[in-house]
Amino acid sequence: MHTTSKQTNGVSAVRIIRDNERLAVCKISIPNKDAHSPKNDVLRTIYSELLLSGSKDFSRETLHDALAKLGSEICVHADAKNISISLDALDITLTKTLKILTNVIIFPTFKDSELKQVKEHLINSLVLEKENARSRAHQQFVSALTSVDDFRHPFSIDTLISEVAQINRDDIKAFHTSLWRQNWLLTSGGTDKTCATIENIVINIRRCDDTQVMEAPIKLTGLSVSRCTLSLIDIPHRQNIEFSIGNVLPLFRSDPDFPAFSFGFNVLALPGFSGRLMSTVRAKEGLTYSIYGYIESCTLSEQGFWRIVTFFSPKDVEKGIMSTTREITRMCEKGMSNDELRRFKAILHTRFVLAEDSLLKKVSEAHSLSLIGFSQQDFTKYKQDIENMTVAKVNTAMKKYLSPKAIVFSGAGPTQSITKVLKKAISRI
Amino acid sequence: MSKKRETNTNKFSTTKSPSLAKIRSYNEVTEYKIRTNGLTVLYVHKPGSSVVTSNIMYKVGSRDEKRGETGIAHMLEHMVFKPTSHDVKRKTDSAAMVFESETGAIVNANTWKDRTTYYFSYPSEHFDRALRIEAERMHGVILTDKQFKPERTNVLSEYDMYAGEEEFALSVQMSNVAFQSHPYGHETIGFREDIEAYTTEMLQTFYETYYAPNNAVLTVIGDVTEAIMKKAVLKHFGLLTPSLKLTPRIKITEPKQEGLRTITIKRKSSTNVYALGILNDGFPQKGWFETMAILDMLAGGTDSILHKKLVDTGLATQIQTSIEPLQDKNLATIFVILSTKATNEKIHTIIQNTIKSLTLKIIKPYLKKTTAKALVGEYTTRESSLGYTAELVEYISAGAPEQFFATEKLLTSITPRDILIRAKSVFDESQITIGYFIGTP
Repeated sequence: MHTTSKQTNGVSAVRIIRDNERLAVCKISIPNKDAHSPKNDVLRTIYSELLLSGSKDFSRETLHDALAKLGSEICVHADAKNISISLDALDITLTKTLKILTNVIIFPTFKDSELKQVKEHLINSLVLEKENARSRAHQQFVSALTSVDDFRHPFSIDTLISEVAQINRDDIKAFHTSLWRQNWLLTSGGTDKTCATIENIVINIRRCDDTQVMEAPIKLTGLSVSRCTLSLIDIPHRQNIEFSIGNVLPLFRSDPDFPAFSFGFNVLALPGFSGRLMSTVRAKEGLTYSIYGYIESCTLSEQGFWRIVTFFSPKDVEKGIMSTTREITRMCEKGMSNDELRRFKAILHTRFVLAEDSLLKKVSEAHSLSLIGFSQQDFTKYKQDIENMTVAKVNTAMKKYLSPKAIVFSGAGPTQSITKVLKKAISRI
Repeated sequence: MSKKRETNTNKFSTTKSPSLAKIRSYNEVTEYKIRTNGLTVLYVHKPGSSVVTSNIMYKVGSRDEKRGETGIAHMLEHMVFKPTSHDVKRKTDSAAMVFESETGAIVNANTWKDRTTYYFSYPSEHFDRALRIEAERMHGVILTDKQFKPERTNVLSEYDMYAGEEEFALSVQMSNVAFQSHPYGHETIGFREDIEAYTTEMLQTFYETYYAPNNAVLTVIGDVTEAIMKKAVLKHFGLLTPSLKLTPRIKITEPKQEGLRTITIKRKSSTNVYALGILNDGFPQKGWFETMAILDMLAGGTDSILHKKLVDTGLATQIQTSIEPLQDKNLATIFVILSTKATNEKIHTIIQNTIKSLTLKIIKPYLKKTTAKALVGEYTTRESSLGYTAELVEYISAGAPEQFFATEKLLTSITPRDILIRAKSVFDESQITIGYFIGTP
């Protein structure tokens, strides 16, 4: 597999080429530039469902029918930052699939009857979301660490439900029109010929409107907490209490400390059994089934968060929280060892090699890099930084950015019986 | 107290020198056997990626468990990641865990009803080490209370994680009433009460019986040459001896169902779920694929019939299906998460009426779409050595690895009439199992 990239007509295009490949895949992302509000949040979600509800040449039914007959798939997803479209097809069905995509993007219909249906579906999903303990712990975590005007700041489920009724067809059409003006990110995967076909067609879709000069992104920081805080949502009938544990990471991707922090955080919380949290809190102490960490929302223009995701049963929650905190403290105060440096260099190297086994993984990886503003050259440099990492660099970064005295503990689940004991435990940290 | 496993020399054959005999080839797979101990090896060379995925599948799963020891196959899977007698001699931690923590290899396993499977995915230079670890785990796992008890806590935590999910709770109860004789009547994780009662002796017996070369299939897919593969396989597995305790599985035919079976779970929740279970042919028989096509037509996406009738009308929040590639007749299920507008009776009536009103005209376009989707899905799953292996394992587990390459032929041989006949039969009111999850305040 090999990678190429170019910029043309408002599209930043990356190709992942694998010879003799029958799969043809692409991911397109278009940044949202609308204001951060509950209405716009709901609008984006509705838009992402409505885009595939019909176009000039297709009703919802005939559109899905046409895709299914080809065995192809087009999905649209909205988050706070981007509208993303993914397309999966075979080389022999690619042209027809791209024709459908073109029709949908250039001539959407956004019928009122479809809008009504999507709104009803969204309300049902939001009601169901109230039961999703993991997601609610996460939302509460982000909420604690972002200001209300930060695009990442989530709105309450009830606020979103109340906004659904306000959305009308004109809102959707205006939103669709505004998307054209943004610059697009495109990652395609397949043979060189497949990728060229995808690029030609997508760039042509983009050409339907004028190209704007890429605006310099506004730099965003989070609201770092300076002491430990506990927020709990009681969902009484869940078995376990889901947690998001962490704080703001005041680093941009381009900051020199970022590779060192990322390295050290992997030592602490890498998914799998290599990270300290999995090998102690799960494997040695048996306090949870999974405990992993992620660095999230860190881009060239945004400082993000470090977050540990886990769950504990009510009877183990105090021990679980204390064990997790102990490991964070140990990493912050004592840092990592030479042995861990050697091992994690090998682990991270293997991750890069394993990506070569899968075109789909490689396309996702490349697209994720584009979304955070990284070029392939930046990624190569990041890999070199990892190769050249030292214990001193990592331990300095850990001390600087991983304070055990300032952590947000956000939990959701059957919390009523453990609130008191947990508050007390956290006040001792 | 638990006892340690008997000395490894019991498993060594000294009478014949082992060799790897080629048995057959189908498409790109070559099948070998070590005749002295019965280990089957499947090999596919995929040059150029620098990655290998190796997998060892034991033909043992939750169906092989006795009453009172449900979930023990899965518990043992966890124990296989603990230090072996070889690790103790070397004074190291579990070789599998060290392999992951030193190299970053993907190291994982899963247990299902018919089989337990362990897989590693890693850069090619670690191939020999990966095979050594699997061979050592086949005969050298130590099962003591010291290792077992903390791991049981992890398994109980895993159990609680699943048990909190409405669909899982329904699956447990529905399988239990759907199968009165066949051992598919309990879920792989087992019952909490049984997990709490395991002893290391129980685990030891299970391990000694089923973890042996004559009950295993090793799969090697990726960027490793045939010569290197053969050399490493013989080096690490050649001298292992077969299990003498292993007996063939008893063929159990589930007694005929003579009427609708229902179960109800009432639990504090704001979610209500309706589940409809149908009996499905074993995998990879044609009937299994026919049921897959029916479920896809009914609930396999936004253009499916029931999605339009239930989700698009606001009666349901979600609709999803579950179909497992199991060897024998098993339960496939449609789950409907109800909106506040719907009742279980209403959902049941709509589904039954939908089945009754199926015609060849309705089925024909859906079947075409299902076939196209399944074939693209096959390319997508098999594009990496890890995905390829995961899918091949299910065909091996079903005893038909050569069918791995026959899906397209099989799918395209299914006619709308086949679907119509099967739909009417599997959804017959006297043959189904219904589950209700009723959320109470």
